[in-house]
Amino acid sequence: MGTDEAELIARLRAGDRMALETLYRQHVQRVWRYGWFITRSRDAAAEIVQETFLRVLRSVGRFEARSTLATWLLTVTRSAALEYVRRRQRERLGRSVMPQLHVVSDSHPAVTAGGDPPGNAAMSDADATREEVRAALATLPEAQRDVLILHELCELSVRDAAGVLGWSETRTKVTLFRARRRLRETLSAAGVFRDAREAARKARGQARA
Amino acid sequence: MNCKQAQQLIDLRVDDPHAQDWTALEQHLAGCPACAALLSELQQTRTLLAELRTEGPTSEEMESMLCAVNAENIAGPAITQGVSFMRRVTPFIAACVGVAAVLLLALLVGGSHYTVLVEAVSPPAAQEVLRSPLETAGKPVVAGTEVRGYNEERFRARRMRVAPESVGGNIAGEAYVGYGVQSDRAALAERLDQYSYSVPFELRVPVAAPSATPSAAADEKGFFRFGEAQVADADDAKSYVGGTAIVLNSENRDKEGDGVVDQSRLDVAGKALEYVAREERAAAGGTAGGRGSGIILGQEFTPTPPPAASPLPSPVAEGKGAGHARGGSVAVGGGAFAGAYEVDRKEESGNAPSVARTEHFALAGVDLAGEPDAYDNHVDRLVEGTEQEAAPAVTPQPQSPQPERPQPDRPQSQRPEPKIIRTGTLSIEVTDYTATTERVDQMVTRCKAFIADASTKEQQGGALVGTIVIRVAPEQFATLFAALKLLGRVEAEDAQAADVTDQYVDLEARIHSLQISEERLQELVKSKTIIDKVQSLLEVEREMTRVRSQIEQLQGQLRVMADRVGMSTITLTVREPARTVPVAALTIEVTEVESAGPQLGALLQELGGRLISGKTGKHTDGTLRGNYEVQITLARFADLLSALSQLGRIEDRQVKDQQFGDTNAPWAAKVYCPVNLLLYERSRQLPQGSLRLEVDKLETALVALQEVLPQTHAAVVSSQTTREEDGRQIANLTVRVPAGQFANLLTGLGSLGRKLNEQTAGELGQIVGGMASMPRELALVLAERPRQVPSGRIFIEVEKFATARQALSGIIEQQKVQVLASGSEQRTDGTWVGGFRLGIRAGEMEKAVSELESLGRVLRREIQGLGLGDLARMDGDALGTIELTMGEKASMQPDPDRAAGSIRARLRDGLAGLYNALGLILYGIVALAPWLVVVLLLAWVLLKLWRRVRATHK
Repeated sequence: MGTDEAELIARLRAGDRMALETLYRQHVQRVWRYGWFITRSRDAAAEIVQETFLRVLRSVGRFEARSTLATWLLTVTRSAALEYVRRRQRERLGRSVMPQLHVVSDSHPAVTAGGDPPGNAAMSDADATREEVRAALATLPEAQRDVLILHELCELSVRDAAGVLGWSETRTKVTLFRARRRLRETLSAAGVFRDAREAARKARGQARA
Repeated sequence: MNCKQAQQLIDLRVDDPHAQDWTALEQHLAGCPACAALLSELQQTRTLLAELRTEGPTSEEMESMLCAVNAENIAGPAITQGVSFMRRVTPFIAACVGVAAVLLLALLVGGSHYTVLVEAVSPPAAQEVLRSPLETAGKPVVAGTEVRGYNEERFRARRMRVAPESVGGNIAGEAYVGYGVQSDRAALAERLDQYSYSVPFELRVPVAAPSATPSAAADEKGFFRFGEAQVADADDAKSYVGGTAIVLNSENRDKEGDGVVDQSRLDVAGKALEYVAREERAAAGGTAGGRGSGIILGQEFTPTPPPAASPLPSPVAEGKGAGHARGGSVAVGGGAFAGAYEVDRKEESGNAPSVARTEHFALAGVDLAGEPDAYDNHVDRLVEGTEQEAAPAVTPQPQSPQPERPQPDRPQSQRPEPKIIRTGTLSIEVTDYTATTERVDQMVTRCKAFIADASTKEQQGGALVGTIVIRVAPEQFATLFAALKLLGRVEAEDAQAADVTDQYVDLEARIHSLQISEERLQELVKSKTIIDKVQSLLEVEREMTRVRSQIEQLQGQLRVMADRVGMSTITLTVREPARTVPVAALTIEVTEVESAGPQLGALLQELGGRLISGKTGKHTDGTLRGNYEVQITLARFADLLSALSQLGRIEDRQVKDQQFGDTNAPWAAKVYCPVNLLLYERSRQLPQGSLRLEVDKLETALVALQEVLPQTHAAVVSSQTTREEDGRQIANLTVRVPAGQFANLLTGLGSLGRKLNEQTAGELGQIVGGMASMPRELALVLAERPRQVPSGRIFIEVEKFATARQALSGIIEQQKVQVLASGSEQRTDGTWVGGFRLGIRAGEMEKAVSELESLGRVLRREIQGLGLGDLARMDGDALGTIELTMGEKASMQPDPDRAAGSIRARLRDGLAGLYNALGLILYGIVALAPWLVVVLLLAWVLLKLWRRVRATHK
């Protein structure tokens, strides 16, 4: 754990508001992304973010600095997300027997940061592809999906991701590889790569032309 | 390289393109389009995923979330300040608990103290030593003896300090004992000061005056006899008979030259003992056989080998220890000797390690074992010696026979011999009065004296006191006086010698002159000159008479004086020490005073006590009390006190003046001690109560009652009988019974009938003694069983109501039935119906009912109370009620609902059947459902596996 992080923790414990904001700005993106890719809902993601940071504030005293801040934060996020999902499922009288972090989508497919307003009838190709990828991600088994989200989307190192999931690094890496393979399969089946190839060809064709 | 290997490398390459050299892989990929496609697709996947990273919260969202967090953070709990409180506190708590545990342990181990078993080593030892070889002992004095405990390392007792206070030979004192757990002596000493406490103790050493008969002494095996030490005082060259000079010293062994520091209690020997002490001190420390010890007499002596019988028999003491003595005695002139002894004792007791002790005794005494008559001889010698002394005063001259009449004594030409009246008073305290007086007799006889007067009186506790007036020849006055002093403890003495020579001579002279006057007067009477004058004769005769009487008076005085001069007087008061007689008063709670009295009598008989007076009386609450004045011998006093606990519970016990140890005194069996006893019965709560019984017939019950009551001395004091409505009788009785029989009465009454209710208060059983006869009242209720009065309902169908009603009135009149209520109404269909409540005498019920039933067709009839059993108990006059309902036949109308009803019913049945069937089906489904689920799950799992298997093989 870096000295910066240690200092930040100390300031947090002391009740420094600026420290809180610093922490927030450092990690809000990845926390939000985790929540978003799990729940597919902006509201849910926002709630999860708030819950995560509140819990972190409450228990910063007990944080023993054995892991990085990122790991810890995302562990909290993961549990907050799980709780959220469970609560929603209970409200909806459940959909599946086992409380997976199932995709609970209650809003339109999101708009990217700075992107088009929702409800736009014509989605660009890029958006369509992204939507495919998101959907494919949702079909993955929970563990593989988590690993992908943590590593690829939340930009955690394999080590930190292993910490969040509670696995060994080796297991995490293996799962990561498998997840990529699986995702590729799904995307391949969905014809994403064909489109990509076609787009590339088109581009090349346009370039030639 | 095959595809399998290539694919593994592809994964790695996708993950980290710069990890290693991929040349080999490139080669394979060049020739394998599938793998190349895989790599390309995987890379694209990664890229696509990376694009997803662009998704994130909008800036508004970010700000709003932050605001929410801040807001909640303000409102919510504050950031914890470092390690949680519990975390911090836990080690502290653990430390506290640990320290507390250690402290507790230390307290338990270290704080315990040991009770010291104080054994007064020397005094009992001395007693043992003195007692075993001796039957009679002198008066040992002990001081400054050190007492040691059993385990020196652990604790130690302090020295015992004895305050010598011999009263009749008893030593009372206090032992100061301390305890501690340290072995550091200095600290221990301090602690002992702090924690020492005193243990009072008393040692009884029997005291005997010098043995009455020397022959008894001869039987003794020992070689001491205390009380008869002959001690010579070098200064006076006189002998003192008697006295003890025992000194025990178990300390100062190391110090040379230090001897005994104590003094004997006897005054006579006191002087001598001081002498002893001084001499011993001067000597070189008490080793036997040396010059140092036993220098009592102030004479030089040469040590002689110790007498053969000198070693103390061993074991010295009985009981726990064994020991032997070393040392010996040294004979000193005059039959006295002294000795010093070193006694080793080893004591073992229970778990304590054995302790070896060495005690030292320095003893002095007179060895009279070989000379049974030594005492008497000695006294004789003394007496003879003094006689010979006095002999020269009497000149052995032939005496002229004494004239009949007292001749006028010529005044002595030579110097008159001195006339001394010697008187002595002596008051001694002795153990055995009778023995002492016998000895006095003997001494008096030996000294050729005589007892002029003797009187005895009994003091409290049977102690005797008496006065003996002894006349003894003046020459032996001193000897006898001295000898008497040795018989006991001198309380007071006084010896006077009054020189009455002058008075004597004066008296003689006066008598002489008066005698001369008498002679002259006689001559005068004889002379003729006087006879003529009658008056003168009378005068002369009167004068003669006067002179004569004066002469006689003076002669009488002279005689007395001569007598007193001739024989000295010793007034000896012999006193046994006052005995305190203990008194006791006890209050005992007994079960029954009546039986306790004879029990007490038996006890007294067994112990040899006397019942002086006994009085029993009744207390206000009925309990008996007994006051008894009892006397018991002192010897059995303690036995009685403990035996009294057999009578009952001792509530109060007061004992005064109980001296332990006196029980073995010889006079203990003769002295009676008063004991007052108050025996009382415990007051109890007297029983009372009430009892309610259910009986079959009251008359029989009352008769049975009269048989039950006398068994418990009970009687009915009041009774009241009532008759209920249903004819049964209830009797309310008050029974008076003695408290002691209350429980029995209840039991006896229980046989009369069935107990309905019983309430009691107080102590039912165990009322004995005076209270048992106190009258108590029991409220008794005897109730006959409730009777079943016949009653019922009858429903009759009649043709015409009016006619039936008329017939009914006829019956009513005829059977004398009472109409309690009646009513009638017309139904919707025009028919009439009526109801009647009839009161019918039970005796006529049957008949009436049959008459009523003849009014029409009986639809229904419910009647109770007319069964066989009921009839037996029934009171014929009791009133039963019958509810009679008479109704005209209702008209016959077709029932429109019936048909429909039946169809409906059939439909209902059919539907019910259907519901049942459906229910069964549903039930079947529900029962099977779990199984279906299991099957589906299995299938799903299998499918997944199959897919995976397929995927890997691809």
